[in-house]
Amino acid sequence: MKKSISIMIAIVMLFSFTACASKAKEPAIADIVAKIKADVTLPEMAEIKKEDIQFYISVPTADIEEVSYMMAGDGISADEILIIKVKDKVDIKSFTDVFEGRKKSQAELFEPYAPDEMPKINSAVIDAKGRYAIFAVTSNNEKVKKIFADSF
Amino acid sequence: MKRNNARRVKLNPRAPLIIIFFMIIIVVAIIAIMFSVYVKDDINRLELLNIEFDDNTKTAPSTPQSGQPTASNATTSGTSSGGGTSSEDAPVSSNLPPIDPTSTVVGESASVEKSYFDNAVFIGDSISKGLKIYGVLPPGNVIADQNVGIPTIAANKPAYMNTSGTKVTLDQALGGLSYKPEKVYVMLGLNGLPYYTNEDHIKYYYTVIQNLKAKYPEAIIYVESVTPITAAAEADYARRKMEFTNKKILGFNELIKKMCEDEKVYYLNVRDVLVDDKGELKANIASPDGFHFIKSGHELLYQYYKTHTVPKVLNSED
Repeated sequence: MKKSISIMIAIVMLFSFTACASKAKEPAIADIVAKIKADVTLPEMAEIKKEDIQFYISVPTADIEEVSYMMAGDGISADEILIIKVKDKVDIKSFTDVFEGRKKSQAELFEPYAPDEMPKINSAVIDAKGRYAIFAVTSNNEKVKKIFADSF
Repeated sequence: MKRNNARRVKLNPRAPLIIIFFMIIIVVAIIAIMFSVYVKDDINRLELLNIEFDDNTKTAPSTPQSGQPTASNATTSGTSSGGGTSSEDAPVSSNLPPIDPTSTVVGESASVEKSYFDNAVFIGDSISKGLKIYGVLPPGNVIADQNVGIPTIAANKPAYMNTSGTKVTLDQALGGLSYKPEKVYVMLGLNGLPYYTNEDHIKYYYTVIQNLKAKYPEAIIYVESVTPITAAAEADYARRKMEFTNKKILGFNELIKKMCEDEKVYYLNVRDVLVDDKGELKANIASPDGFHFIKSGHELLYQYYKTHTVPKVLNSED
């Protein structure tokens, strides 16, 4: 009797813990962006609308559930921050691969034009967590990387 | 034996049931807390969406002005609609001089509607790139990138980075448009000014304009003046022993104006709206580098475009 009760307790505890662990934390992208804006110095940034993302980067927008894309529009700063939450069962790696391509093309664009921007681009943040992915070029990429990681 | 009896008293058979009961209460409580957190998150997201929606509704489309040059052929291009600006409905002077049909210099006209630009393409360098990034014009109407120079475009060499990470020529970029341009705005020159004499530089510009005329014989072509720079930017180039001054820009603009007369295309002196009384780029719209503009500078340009239009192509036979 005691043995069976102990097993039942163990099962109940197991279920309660798996229930807590199975739901990964899913922060609002707006909260991550707000934290970055508060902690990292950025030039004047423009918000890129979801339907306009295709003009800057070849990500499959149909697979995106939520997104924030900001970019410097002053012509001389390479700063940009793209955070994406993909729909369920979408391979996040397909996004980070595109981010690598974006990093390369931005380097090609800025190296002869504004070499002072190159440290930002060379250390660009490309990271993914669960259904989230980030591409960021800022003056403090380490900080952005930490803010993104700490959001989960 | 007494000890064993005492243990039996402590191990009450109901104790595990009580533990299970409390465990269930704890699990239910955790679920309730998690549920309330998710509901709160959803409410926050909805509030955020509402704020964004309200912001969008603030940008009202411009209304037609009486007596404006017609843009009857303005059609929907299939590109995304532009963000527009909050100052789109700025009043326009009603005492405008009559348009001289033979002049290639575009004077002030009544403000056109935003739809005038639906089938307009803006070709440029990093200066024009801000027009699309800041949402002043739809990105599908702007072909612009860093480091684009007139000689590169004249030679039809790759100049514009596409989203696949490959540089394409202007012709290739124009081939990707989802509409046939009926107005072509060109703003080039700033990148080459420190490296060419004005006389050499303008020769390449003639080639660019002639190519565009051949490609779009029915389009209105507006060639924009080169934009001014700040005194600090001038000083920076002087330190590097390079000739890049507002005086040189003015000289090049005179050659552009002459080219427009020769080629029968329109000259749009956007410089006027960007300079201060000393002939330098206005400090309140300049980027830190002294060449580019922040958003408000691009909005000034957009207002200038809207209030400086012509009704038709200036044919060489006119």
